[in-house]
This record gives sequence, C-alpha cells and structure tokens, in this order.
Amino acid sequence: MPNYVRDFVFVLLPLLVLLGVLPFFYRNELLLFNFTIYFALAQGLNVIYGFTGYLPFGYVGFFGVGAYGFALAIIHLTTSPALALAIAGLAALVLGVILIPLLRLSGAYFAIANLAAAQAVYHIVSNPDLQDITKGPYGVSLANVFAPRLSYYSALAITALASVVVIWFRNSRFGLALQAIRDDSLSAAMAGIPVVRQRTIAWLLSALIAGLTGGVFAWHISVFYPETAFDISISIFALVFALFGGATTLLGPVIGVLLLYGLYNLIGITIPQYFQLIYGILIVVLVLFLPQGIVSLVSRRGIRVP
Amino acid sequence: MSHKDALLRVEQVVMRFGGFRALDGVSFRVAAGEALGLLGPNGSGKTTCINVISGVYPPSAGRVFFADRDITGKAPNLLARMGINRTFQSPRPFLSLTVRENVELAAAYGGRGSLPMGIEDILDFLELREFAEKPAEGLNSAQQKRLDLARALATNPRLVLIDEIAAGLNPLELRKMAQCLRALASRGIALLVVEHLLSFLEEVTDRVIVLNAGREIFEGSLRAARHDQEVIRVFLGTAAHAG
Amino acid sequence: MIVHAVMAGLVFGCYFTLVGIGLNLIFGVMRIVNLAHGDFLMLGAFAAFWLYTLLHWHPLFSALAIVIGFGFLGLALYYLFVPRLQAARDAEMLSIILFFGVQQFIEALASIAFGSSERSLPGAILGRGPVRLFGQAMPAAWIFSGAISLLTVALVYVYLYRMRIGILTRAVMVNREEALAAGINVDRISAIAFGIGLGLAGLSGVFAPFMLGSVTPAIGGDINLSAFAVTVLGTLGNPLGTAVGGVIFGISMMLMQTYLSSWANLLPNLLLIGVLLIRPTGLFGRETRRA
Repeated sequence: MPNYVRDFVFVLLPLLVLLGVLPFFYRNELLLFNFTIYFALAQGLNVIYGFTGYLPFGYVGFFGVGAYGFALAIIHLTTSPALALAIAGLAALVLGVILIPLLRLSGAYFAIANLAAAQAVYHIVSNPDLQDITKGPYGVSLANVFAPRLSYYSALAITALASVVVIWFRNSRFGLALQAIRDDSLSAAMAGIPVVRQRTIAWLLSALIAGLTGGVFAWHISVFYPETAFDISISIFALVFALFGGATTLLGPVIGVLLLYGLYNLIGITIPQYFQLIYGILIVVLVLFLPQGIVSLVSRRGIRVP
Repeated sequence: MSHKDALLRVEQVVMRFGGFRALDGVSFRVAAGEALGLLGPNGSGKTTCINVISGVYPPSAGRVFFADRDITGKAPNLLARMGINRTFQSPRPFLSLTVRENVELAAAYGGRGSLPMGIEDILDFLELREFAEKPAEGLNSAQQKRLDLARALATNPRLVLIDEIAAGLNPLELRKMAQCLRALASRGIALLVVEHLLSFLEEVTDRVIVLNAGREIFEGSLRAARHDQEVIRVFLGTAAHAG
Repeated sequence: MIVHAVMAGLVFGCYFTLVGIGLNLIFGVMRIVNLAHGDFLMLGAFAAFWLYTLLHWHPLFSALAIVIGFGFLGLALYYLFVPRLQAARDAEMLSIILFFGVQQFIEALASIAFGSSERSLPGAILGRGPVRLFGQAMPAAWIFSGAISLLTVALVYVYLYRMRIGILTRAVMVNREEALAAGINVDRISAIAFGIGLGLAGLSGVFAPFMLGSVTPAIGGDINLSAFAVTVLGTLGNPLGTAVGGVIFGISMMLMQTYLSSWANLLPNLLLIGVLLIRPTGLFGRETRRA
C-alpha cells in the first residue's frame, strides 16, 4: 500500500468518520465544531510552517479576513452561504498575494512582519471610520443564514481538504522539494527547484485553508466581533498544536489538537490564567527538550510517522 | 581559444558590495570539458566569481555567456536546468532529507534529459551508497562535500563550479577527490575549480588564472604561475597554503 | 500644533528608544528574539507601581532596584535557556517560540497575581505642573521620563564604545565565530548582554505608567510590536540605530495622534511592514533569502 493511501486510511479517514458521527451522539456541537476548526487550522499552518519553515505568527489574519469575507458577502451581497464561503477563501488568497513580498524575509523578520500584517488588517477592519462597510468594532450578525449542522459538515470538509494537502506534501516530490527549500533555499535553487514558485504555492494554499476556515467559523457562530475573528491566540493555538504534536507530519497536528485543545477545554475555559500558565511552561519545555514534537519520540527511532 | 569553443565566457564582470569592488572587470573562458583552476589569496574574489556565474547575485556590470547564451543575472534554478551547477565552500546539503532524496530531487528538478549516470551510479561514484537512506545531517563534513558534488552531478551538468572542496580533507580523501574530479573532466564535464591548495589543484588541471583584489593578474599554466613574480608576491602572505 | 507634536514626538522618541534598545541588544549579540520583552516591561511597571503604593518609593529609586533585580533575573534566564537554544539548528526561530512561551507564562502569572484591572501612577510624582520646552508646554512626567531615557541610552553608548567589555560585546555582534576564535568569552559577554537587556526592559517599565497610561498584565504584546517597530526602523542588531528608530517612531506617532487619531494604532504595524519590505537588507544590514 503506498504511503499516501496508508496515511489516508489510517489517520485521516478515522478522524473524519469520528467527527462525522459524533454529533449524533454528543450534544455539545460547538465543542466539536471548535475541534474541527483547530484540526483545519493546525494542518493549514503545518502546510506553511512544517514544509517551508516560515513561522506565520499572523496566521489569524487569513482566518479573520475569511470570516469577514463571508460575513460581508452575506450582509452586502446577500449571497448564499456556499458562495460566501468561496468569497472567504478568495479574500484570504488576496491577502496572501498582497503579503507575498514578506516571503523575502527570513527567520524572525518574517514572523514579526506577518504578525504586524495581521494586526494591521485587524485595525483596519475594526476602525469606526469604516463602520458602513465592516460594521467597525461593533461586530456582525448573520442570524439569517444560521445553519449549525450544515456549517459543521462544511468545516469537516475543510479539515479534510487541509489534511489532503498535508498528505500530498508528505508523500510527493513537491513536498520534498519544499522541505529542501526550507533546509537551504540556495541549494534548492541550485538543484533546479523553482524556489519562489514552490513556496508561493504553499503560502497561498495555507492562506486559502485559513480563509475557508474563517468563513465557516463566521457561518457557524453567526455573531462575532473583530477581536474574535482576529484573536492572535488563534494563530498561537494552531501553531502550538502543530508544534506540540510534530510539524511536517499528518499525525502530529492531530495529536496536538486532541491533547492540548482537550486540556484547554478541561481547565482553560473555567480558569484561563492557569491554562495560560501551563501552556507557557509547556511551550518552553517543548522547545528545549522536544523541538520536533511528540511524534519525534517515535520517528527518531527510524519509524515512519504518517 | 576561439569564440566558438568557449562553453563559459565571463566578460568584464564587476561586482560591487557597497563601495567595495569584489570583482573589478574579470574576463575568462572555459572550454567544454576543460578544467580551469581559479587561484588567489583570501578576499581576492574567487567565491564571488562563482556566485556571479551560478546566479546567486547578478553582477554590477559585465556579462556572462554559457553556450553562447547570455545568462547574466539568471536565477540559479534556470542555470541548473541549462547545465551549470556548483558545490559550496562549506557544504550545504538538505540536512533533513536522506542522501538519496538529496540526489533524487536534483535529478528530478534540475536534470537535463536522461542521466548518463544513474542515481545509483552517482552514489557509488562518490562512495555515498552506504549512507543513502540516512539523513544528510548525520554525515561528516567530507561526506557532505561529496553529497554536494553528487547533487550537482545528478542535474547532468556541462559545467560544475567547485568551491574549495579540498579544505579539511585528509590525504586519502584528497587523493580520491582529485581522482574524482579528473574522472569528471574525462567525461567531458567542464570544471572551474577554486582552490587554495596548489598540490591538490595540480592533480586536477594545469591551466589556471590568478585573481588578486578582484582583478586577474595571471593566466597560463600552474607551473608558470609558480614562477611568476606578481603571483609570488600576492601569495607571499599565504605561503603556508601554497603546498 | 505641529511644533508641539514634533517636540512631544522627540520626548517620546527618547522613551521608545529605551523601550527598544534592550530587545535590540539581545538580538544583536545572540540572535535571540526576546518575544517576552514587552512582558518584562510590564513586570517593571508593576514593580514600580507596588513599590510606590506600598513603600512610597520614588520611581527613580525603584528604577535602580529594578534594573539590578531584572539584570540578575536576566543572567539566570540566560543560563537556563540560551546555551541550550543555541545548540539547536534553527536557534533564531526556536527562540521566538520559546520566548513566546515565557511571555504566556509571565502574562498568566501577572494576571493571577494582579488581576486584570488597570493600574496607574499620578504624573505628579515626577514633578508638578507643565514644563515649557522650547516654548511648548508638556507634562513634567514626560520630560522627566524622556530625560532618564536619554541618559540611559547615553550610558549604553558609553558601555558599548568606551568600555572594554562593551567593545568585546560589539565584536561578538559583528561575528560570533571570529570572536570565539579570538578567545573572547562569548558566553559571559552574552549573559551580561542578556542581563542588561532585561534590566533595560524593566527600567522602561518603570516609566510606562507615565508615558503609556495605565498598565495591565496584557499590555506586553502591544508593546512588543512598538519595540520591534522601533528596532527594525533603526537596524535590528544595531543598538544605537535604535535611537534613530525611536525618534522616527515617536514623532510619527505624535503626528498620527494629532491629525489622524483613529488610525494611530495602525502606525507601528505599517511602519514595521513598510521598512521590512522597502529596505529588508539595507536598514539592518543582514542578508535575507536570496533564492
């Protein structure tokens, strides 16, 4: 069985089936929805961080733009949710294209510039001067298209899409070339790899995933504010989930979301400061002792992790 | 050498970094299948020269032609596909990929037509087969240098730029590497060999040019270079390397 | 009005230089991004607040104590984290993530200890009534904080350019490997630079209640962005360039607040992105990706 089939059958399929049937047995659909969203975001971030090494601190920018793309399409254009989702993805792609020049920056500079870009978009969207267009800081309400079940399964479809991209990257020459670029972009160019084109594709795919996720998020929760959609901790959660499990793998982000977001829901909601405290310590310990994530406990023994 | 025979023509290339002229009007030619040595003390512009030819940065002035096509300022990945490749002074393999993946990627993306040497042949030729499935991170420096060269060969190059490959190799590795480069030249691959170690260079080629402070000060045989007054003068400071 | 904005901008520029310079020193010497910089500043602000509220210490007095205390904290943190970090292949990237964890830790601890309410100190502690500077009236607390900032930046200059250990520090900044090869005790130099960097963060925190308004445990993130904007503007890794960045930042912030106040909070972000995109190499003299 080829590796990509194995990854699909043993990791993605069980996850999709589980998330697909759980709503029939488990009442807290919002919790399931949030898990699904983070599966999608952690894999979307994995696409850019795990395979190209760019650290997108401002990943939430794409998510927020997607959420607002969806909301404004519903409000101003009164489109169907399906078309609004497409517009959400498109909005994130447009932001991704605008930010392509950031890919020239390396290391810390990229991470900081990307964070600044997400903040800038937030300040624009939430500006009271633009109230007629974006509703400014007062938030949007989309009660007329509220459809929890449908939006939940749309989120599941986006998770599937994000995971398929990761499976593709993990088992193809294209993904290998991305990792080569991550390791050494000049060497990669010398090996004939079209460096700029390849990493732009990864960047835009990653942006698209976050934009679609933001759109479906807007659809599902239906009332939200700029600081909800552009909450920097969304970037950070997705990043830490992916890192904790192990970036560059399909399984790593899944494990990260299950364990850490599970932990968050056990203690984080009631006493957020204590969760933040544990979180901070966890990140420090992770970087110092297990920078390749939990899956590296297995993969460093030479066993292939999906 | 007539115009027609030249595979690589470097014409009046100038490279400025800020106010500093790393290359100050350098011109030379390399014929198909020829090995040319590039000598000079530290900071004389040798590596800059290789970087300009391999497209790392475009020159401030001057032109570079390859097989009669103007390649000045072209991106490295395009040059790789045209048949120019290189190694690095400190080796730069893809550390998280296996040795085989390193070579396969270069063959897949940079390869021109069918390889005269298959990937297995290249791994054998550079004695890398036993590490083929290991991540490049685990190789020692000499092995990483060979991997750099293996990756370059996998693109089926017509010209390979070799940047200080002898540095840090032990005598046995040196002898093998020299054999290796001679074998490449005999297969018709042109080489531009930047080297400090003259005893190594003379095993590979006799024709050299010598740079000093971004200018060419000598062109001819290595034997003649050793007796050239100006070459001796600029190398006096680095006599220890003159082997 | 424009003269006033520029003058106030200069004063704030001195302060923002102080805010950025510690971050920059640490990055310059060890290529470590202290993403918790703004949170150490926040801790400094709270320390000054409590020292005043409980013990009635004058901020100048607490400043001294805080610089020393944070300096030693910095030394401890250096030996705890940095050598281990630098052994990794991608230390710069990992440092961002690690210090993000430290940031979360500090913020959580501070909000458990202090709650989320806003704390401020009356400006009158630092001097009564407005002070006229070149004909422009400004709160005495601004002038005081600006002057202390200027003095501190001057001391950093003396350290880096007039003292032996500072000159060695600059050698490490220029080329770590060469410095190691030349027998410089890079580890000790780095540890001291880390201590100074944290001390400066704490010191700028002391004046935060006067310059930035009230403080809460959550202000660290926003301050980080301003600090990064200042340092990137004036060349990351070059502490004195920070002064240029600080002044540009201070003046443009004051101009924005005077003429376009609802968009003022966009400024640090746009300045950052703009500078990074327009002069990614020139302004801070470090290579970016070539291919």
